[in-house]
Amino acid sequence: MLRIEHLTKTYGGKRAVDDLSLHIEPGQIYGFIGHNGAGKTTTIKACCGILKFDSGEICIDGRSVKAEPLECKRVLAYIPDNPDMYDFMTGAAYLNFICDVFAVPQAERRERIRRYAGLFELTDDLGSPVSSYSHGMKQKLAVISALVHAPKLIIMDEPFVGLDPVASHKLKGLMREHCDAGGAIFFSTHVLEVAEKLCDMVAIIKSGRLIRAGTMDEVRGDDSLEDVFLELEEG
Amino acid sequence: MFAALLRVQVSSVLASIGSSMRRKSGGLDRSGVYFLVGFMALLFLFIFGWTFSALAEPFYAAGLGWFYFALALLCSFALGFIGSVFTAQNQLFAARDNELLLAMPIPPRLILGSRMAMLLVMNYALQAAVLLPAGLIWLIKAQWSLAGAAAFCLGALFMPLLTLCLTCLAAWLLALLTSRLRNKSLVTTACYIIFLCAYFYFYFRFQNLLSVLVENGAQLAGGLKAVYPVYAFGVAAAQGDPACLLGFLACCALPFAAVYALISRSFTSIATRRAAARRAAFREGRLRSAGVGAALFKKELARFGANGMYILNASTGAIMTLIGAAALVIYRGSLAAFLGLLPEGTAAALACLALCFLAAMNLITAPSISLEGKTLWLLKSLPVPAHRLLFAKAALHMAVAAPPSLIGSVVCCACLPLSAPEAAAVVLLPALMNLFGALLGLSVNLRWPKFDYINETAVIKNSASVAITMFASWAVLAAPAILYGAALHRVMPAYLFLLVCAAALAAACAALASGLRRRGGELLLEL
Repeated sequence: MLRIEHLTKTYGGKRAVDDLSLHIEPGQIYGFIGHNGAGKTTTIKACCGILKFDSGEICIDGRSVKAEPLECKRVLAYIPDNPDMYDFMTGAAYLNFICDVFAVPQAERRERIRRYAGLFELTDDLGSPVSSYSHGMKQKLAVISALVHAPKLIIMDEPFVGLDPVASHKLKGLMREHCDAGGAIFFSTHVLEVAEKLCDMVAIIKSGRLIRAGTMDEVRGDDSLEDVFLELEEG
Repeated sequence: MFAALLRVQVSSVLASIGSSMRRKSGGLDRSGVYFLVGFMALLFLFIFGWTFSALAEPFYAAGLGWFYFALALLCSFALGFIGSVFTAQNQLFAARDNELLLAMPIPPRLILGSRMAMLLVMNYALQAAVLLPAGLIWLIKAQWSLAGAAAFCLGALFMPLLTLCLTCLAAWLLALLTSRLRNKSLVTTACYIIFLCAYFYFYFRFQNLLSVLVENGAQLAGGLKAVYPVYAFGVAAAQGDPACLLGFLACCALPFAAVYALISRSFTSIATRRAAARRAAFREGRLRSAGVGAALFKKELARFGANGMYILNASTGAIMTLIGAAALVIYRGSLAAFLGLLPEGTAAALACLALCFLAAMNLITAPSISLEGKTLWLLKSLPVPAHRLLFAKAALHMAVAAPPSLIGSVVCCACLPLSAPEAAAVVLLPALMNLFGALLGLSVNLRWPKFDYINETAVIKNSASVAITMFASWAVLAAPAILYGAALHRVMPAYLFLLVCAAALAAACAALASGLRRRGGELLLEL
């Protein structure tokens, strides 16, 4: 579903991502872990086609992000680390806008909005402007907007930040449901306990380089993910 | 602490001149803004210099020197007030860093004070445009005592405090009002249009007012004596009266201190108050599907309608075109008589020039990419070709700017003696100028965006892309006008030249559109 091959991106003279390769198959929840400034967001943005990269290749569903960016964007959803959305729209208008752009048929958009907004208890607030939303409500709206067009691949940057425990639990359930239905999820997180319980695969990045990747059991061995991560960071 | 806050304010102002641009292109941004400021300063100095030179001699001869200075005070107050009231509202109560600063151990009065200090500087600049020529003209045309000149200078230093006090009070009331209203931008737009109408009312009646002032100075002066600060300033400046000077200084300083104390008390609550949220119930029936183009256009329209300052500043040309069209209908008789005296084709040329000049003042696309700000990721992540995203912005520009232009063109065709080819040019050229402005604004903003703003007003009013687009459009307008006036009128009739210009403008639009189609996506991704 997502193939990253030898991705390199530099800012000025500094290599933010250095020769990074990752393969994410359908049905997998792939966690991406690293310290602040390790290159997680740069990698994620490059995968979404919103950041140019220097070398390497990224393919989504068999298509190159460089050569066919629009086709790639049609099958993926991106949730950024800070859910800045159009403050001047109501939540419903924003979701409708996303549905229009992704050409979601009317009946399906109503059904999906009803379902996801109900699940995240946002239905009553959809008529209010996004500017009046709290951070958590914006995060919920971002999640709904990602799910509403039924993407094959969901890429999320710190998706649990700002969500209350109930919403976090529901999101985890939806992530599993999405992957069980043949989709894939690639997400970054600092919450190692969540990654440990939720992810099928995990990759650890340090200073732009991939230092460990594999199934959760392969990466952590007999230790906890936190121990492994701290050991690798100090090493 | 106050010095640190002032430094933040100054760097914010400097950044508003275009730090995003500076990173890319050296000092071009600053020089453009300096040119704009210089041009505006010269324009104001000329207008007020001319006005006061007409008043100085008769008033001096009539012994109404105080009335002359009182008028200067009123003019400078009006300019300072109108020029800074909307900025004051945004700077004081809608700055994005208000909550950040209020969370720090800084007394709110210092935050307010630092913002007011910047507004005071702005008021000094605006009021100098009136008081400087007024003082110089009096110095040249009348015998001015040293005490009078000194009192004038001291009064001029204190006068902006009075203006600032009333500006802040009005901004405070506006902020209080809009913080309780749903349609904030509508209220701001309505206030601005009222200001604009009042301005044009006085502008069109200016000659009459000037004559009335000169002829009935003594009578009017009697009435103005009742307004003590105005009278006191006039007497102090004309005669060097120390009691009047002290009285005037007190009239400036005391209300300022009172207003500062008043606003300080409620600054935190206003600055942190969220706008009245529309708790409208969600209706599923409103979820109607539309095409990508319509969705993008609706999004742009919502963006435009959400900010009163954006509406006002970006569509000034459209508003003024409608006012101009109404004025043309009213004064068509006298204008037709005047144009009848001019060579053939002049009416069409002047109409085209005026309508295109106003079209060039529509700057909706020029700040539109900068205004995406933190939501730029959304634009980039949509599965839509970049040129469609950009053309949606141009479509909004045309939807707002083209109808008033067309109304202006139709009124010109109806009221002026134009031949068929001239009428065609009068309709075609302003429409093309609007399209050119829309595409140029996008192209310029793509190259020189600005995302590090604290307040959207800084992007809408002061950003480099807006200044470059406006001046480039005016240059495109001025170059052929000068060329025709200087040489080409001898070899081709006006209508033919106008149609050639229309063809050239259409070609320029096609080139810009093609550039956006080819390079727009790449440039957007680089932002």
